[in-house]
Parts: sequence; C-alpha cells; structure tokens
Amino acid sequence: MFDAARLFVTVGWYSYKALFIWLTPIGYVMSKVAVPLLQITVFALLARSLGLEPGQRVIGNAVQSAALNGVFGTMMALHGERNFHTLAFLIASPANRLVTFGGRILAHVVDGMIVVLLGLTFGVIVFGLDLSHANRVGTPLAFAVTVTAISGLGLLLGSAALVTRDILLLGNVAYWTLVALCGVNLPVDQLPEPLRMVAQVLPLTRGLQAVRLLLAGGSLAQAAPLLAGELLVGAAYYAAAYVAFQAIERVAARRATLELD
Amino acid sequence: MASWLRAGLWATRAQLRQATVSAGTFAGVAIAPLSILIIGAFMLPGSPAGMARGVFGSTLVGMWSTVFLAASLDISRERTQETLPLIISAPVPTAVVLIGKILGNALVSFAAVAVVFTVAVLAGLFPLVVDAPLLVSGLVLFAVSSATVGLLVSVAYVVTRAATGLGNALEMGVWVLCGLLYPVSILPGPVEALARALPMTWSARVVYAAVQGAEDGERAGTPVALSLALAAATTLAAILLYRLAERRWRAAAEPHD
Repeated sequence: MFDAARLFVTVGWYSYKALFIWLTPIGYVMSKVAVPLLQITVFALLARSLGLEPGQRVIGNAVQSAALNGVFGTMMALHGERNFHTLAFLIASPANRLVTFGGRILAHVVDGMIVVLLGLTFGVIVFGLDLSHANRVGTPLAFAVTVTAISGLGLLLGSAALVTRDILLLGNVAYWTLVALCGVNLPVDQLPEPLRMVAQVLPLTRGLQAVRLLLAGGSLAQAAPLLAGELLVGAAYYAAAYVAFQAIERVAARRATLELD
Repeated sequence: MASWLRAGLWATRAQLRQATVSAGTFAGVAIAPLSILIIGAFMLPGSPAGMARGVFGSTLVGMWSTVFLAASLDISRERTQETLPLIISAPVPTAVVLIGKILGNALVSFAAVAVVFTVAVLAGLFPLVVDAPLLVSGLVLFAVSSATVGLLVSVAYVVTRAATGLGNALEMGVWVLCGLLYPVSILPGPVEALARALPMTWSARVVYAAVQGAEDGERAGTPVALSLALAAATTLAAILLYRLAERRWRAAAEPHD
C-alpha cells in the first residue's frame, strides 16, 4: 500500500516536471496564466456587450480553464512518453497501471485548482465578481472534484495518444466542447436538446453547477447530488481510459510493437 | 523583383500544401469557431446582435487563428525541423518568404467562412440580413489585415525560440483587443486606444457593418480606409524589423538564436 502511494506521488511529480522540461518560465506564465485570463475576458465582455451579466461567465471560464491541465496536461503527459521514447519502459514495467497512470493526474489536479483560483481572483479585481458568500469548505472541494473529473477525460484522450499522433486536435475538440456545452458561457438548458444530451455525459457540467451554487452561498448538502454526479461521470471516464489502455497494451503485445498508428 | 515574387509564390504554394493536410488547420478553421458559434447564437436566444456575434465573431476567430498558425507554430516547427536556417539564408529577403507563407494561410482561412456559414445555415442560425458585397470586402480585408499582423508577430518567432512560449496568448490577445466578438468601445480607454491602432479592429468593424441587426452597424468607408492604412503601416514595420534582424544575423554570422 505504502509502495503504491509512493509510486503514485513519484510518477505524478516526474511526469509533471517532464511536461515542462522544454518550457521557459515566460512560456508557463503565458500558457497557464495569460490564456485563462484572456479567455475569461473575451467571454465576459461578449456577455456584457449583449447586455448580460458577466459574472457567471467569469466563474464558468475560470473553472473551465482547469481543462488546460485536466485535458491538455494529462493528455500530453502520456503523449510525452511516446515522444521521448519512454513508453516501452512504462508498458514493460511491472508496476500497477492504475497507480502509474493515475499518478500522472495528481499534479495537474493541484495545478488546475490554482488556475481556477487565479481566474476567480482576476474576476473579482477586473469584473467586480462578488465571492463574499462563498462556502469556504465546499467550494475548494467542488474545484477538486471538477478538475479530477475533467482529468478523467484527459486520461481517456491520453490513451488515444498511444495510437495517433494528432493528439492536439483531440485535445482542442475536447477543450472547446467543454467551453461550448457545459454551461460555461450559457445555461445548459438554453442549448438545443441534442447538445444538452451531450452536456450531460461530459465532465464539468455538474461540477460547474455545484461551484456556482457554493460560490453563491449554497451549502455542501445542497451541492452534494451535483458533486456525486460529477464524480460518477469522472469515474466513467477513468474506467474507459483504463479499459482503453489495457486494450492498447494487448494489441501492442500481440503485434510486438508500440507503433500502432 | 521577379525573383522575389517567384520566391513568395513558392512559399505560398508550399504553405498551402502543408496547411491542407494539417490537423492544426482543421482545429483553427473549425473547432474553436464552431464552439463560439454555439455560444454566440444561444447566449441570448432570438437576439440579432447575439446571432451576429456568434456567426461573424466565430468566423473572424477562425480566420485569425489560421493565419496565426502560419506566423507562429509553423515557424516553431520549421525551427525544430531545422528548415528555418534555409528560409533565412535563401537569397531573397526573409520577409518575402514569410509574406508568402502567411498569405498561404490567409487563403486557407476562408475555409473558416465556409465551415461556419454552412453550419449556421444548416442549423437555422443565419437569419441575418447581410450586405453581401460589403461582407465579402470586409472578410477579404480582414484576411489581409490578419496577414499583416501575423507578419509582425512572425518576427518574434523567427528571431528567438523563446517566442514559442508565447503560445496561444498572442492569438487570444487579438480576440480580446480587436473586437472580433464585441465592439471595442466596451474596452477600457487605454486598451481601446491600442485596439484602434490595429488594422484587424477596423476590418472586423467592416464585417459587422455589413450585418443589419448588429448593434454597431455603420457606414464602412472610414473603417476600410483605416484598416488599409494600418495594414500597410504594419507590413512596413514588419519588413523593417526583418531587415534589422538580417543585419544582426550577418554581423553575428549566425541566423537567429
């Protein structure tokens, strides 16, 4: 048990560091700070220009920005194994797959929560967002649940990184689908029925509703069903990712190659 | 002069061939634009202004993102694949090759128009009355002004590898500044002044002026003239910066860092 926990934390840390090995500090600031803040600004100003209140868009985009970590970070951590030719070692290792792949998410969940906090702080300063009623226990919990669920989607897409090189395209599709459909910029019930159905099977939809409820002063008990739903959706993505990894590993073993695309 | 033209056309041709098979191009012309189309169209259901922002804002975002790709990530890729020194050391000014490359993607950027308009029409999101000739002029002007801003941005990517880190922040900065999705008048004073110094702000305004029902419909003469003048000034600035860089590369006997 202790070994598994140690492995979980160690692979998480190394995988996170490896992700930024090529990046300069300015690159990190631009991609992890500037992009979320610009995204918040664009959609908050779009809402304001249409006579709508920008606060809900600030919250929505701040929370959704965690997908930079949850989707791109997690996905690229796995894609990097292929690019740096370490995938073979990872597959050949006798370590528990759930622990080695799960560990890669840890740092992204923490970093994603920091991005969310940064976005909300920006919203308070620039758009006068009022967070004075926020539930101080429930809100961070809702952040953690939401970012963890989004990372499940990232992990599933990361499994695709083992069989295709166009991984950034998949990441972009996932990222912008979350922006459009999960209630980030407009209530989900304003979408046409087919898009509403898609929103229900995506991470973020319920998590964001819970965050909004808790930031408005709602209790944890009120948000619990939404958070449970978010966890359930996230768990489904983790399970799908695990099954996908197992399948890819079996095909790789059968063909005796990791070059599957 | 003829050799410059030939080099520029070859660069455009090579870029077109690359762009049409690139997943990045597909992302630029379709993914973010369609997402923004949904947001704009349903954020304020039934509002002509919301519909205009959704349809035309997403088109402009797609066009700029496609041009930006040629001016940024494609150059970073040339650097990684070690073809950037070949571009720099070609016996024509670097700016000529870069203009050719960026114009290639400016042409490809019209795919965003096709994608967004097709989806908008099929989904019944296009009930706007549009001044078609003015819209076409506005879109062409926007492609040209995007290319000139792209050329200026490309200087950073050619001169230093550190620019790679600027990533999508520059791309999204234009969304914020140039009124692609809202009138720049809602920006704070100094930011609005900066926005008005960029040609894309004025060409985006021409596009919106072609749409009846958009809140900022207006006569297009002044924005067209300002957009063209600023595009010319931006191109001139980029060419001068490239000449300066070439002089430094020669002095150091080493192209870029």
